[in-house]
Amino acid sequence: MSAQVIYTASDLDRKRREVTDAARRGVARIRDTDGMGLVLLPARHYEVLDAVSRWHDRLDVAERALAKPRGQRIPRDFGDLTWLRHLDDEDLAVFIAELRAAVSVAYHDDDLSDLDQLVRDWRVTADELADPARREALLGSFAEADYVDVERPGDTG
Amino acid sequence: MTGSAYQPFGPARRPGGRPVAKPRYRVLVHRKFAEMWSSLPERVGLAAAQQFYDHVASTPGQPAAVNRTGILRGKAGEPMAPGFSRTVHYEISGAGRIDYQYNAAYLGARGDPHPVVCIRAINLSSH
Repeated sequence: MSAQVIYTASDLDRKRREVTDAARRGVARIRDTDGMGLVLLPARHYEVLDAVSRWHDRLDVAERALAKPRGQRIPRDFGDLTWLRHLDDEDLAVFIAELRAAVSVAYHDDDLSDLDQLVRDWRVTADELADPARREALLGSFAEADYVDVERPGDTG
Repeated sequence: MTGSAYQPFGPARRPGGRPVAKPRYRVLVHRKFAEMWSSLPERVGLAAAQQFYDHVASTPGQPAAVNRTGILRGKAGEPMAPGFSRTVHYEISGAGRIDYQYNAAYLGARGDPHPVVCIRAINLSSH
């Protein structure tokens, strides 16, 4: 195993290519003049780490909200995910479980695509359930009598 | 519009055009949203309304060629009866969302199998 290289702040000038190559391979460690340790990472990896960390916090908040009796919850119990208040307890538990799994995959794959899509889908779902009429239609069972045939808009027959 | 311009399984057609072939899927709307369906052309534009109809009447299970589609999560996304798809969420415009399920072998009240699309909800609130 090769020894971990710690560059100095002046190496950012003198060995710029070497430092950035190390960063592109994963991480470049730099010791500033006052001794503070710094790291240089690919932006994509930093964004994954930032999102994973943020989502761990958010899911803890959501779990605490779920643990409260539904009647005692207020929107701010959900932190910045106030739209979660439109999910019932069962869906909220599924949301938390699915997001935890997706956060883990995002971290290990270094890729936020699936996590972002999952969050978008849940956000859309919550928005649809926010309206009582849509909620009733989307959560209700199927009865053909509830539906009517429609023609192509603008066609007269 | 010529006969060859319409491709039932193609990605899109000229907005506002009239399809020559018969739609494969019968399209149904939940009664609660029938009035909203009628107002769709004036709310989102005739071309967008026709694009949506043509999409669900021919290829409801494929991603839309023009607009974004997704799948609802949780109970709202589950098939409402055996044979139905999960709930597809179609963004018809900046101000319109439509949720539907489809069943390629639906057995209706008359017992005849036929493909059907059920529009479960329409959301015309602006986002």
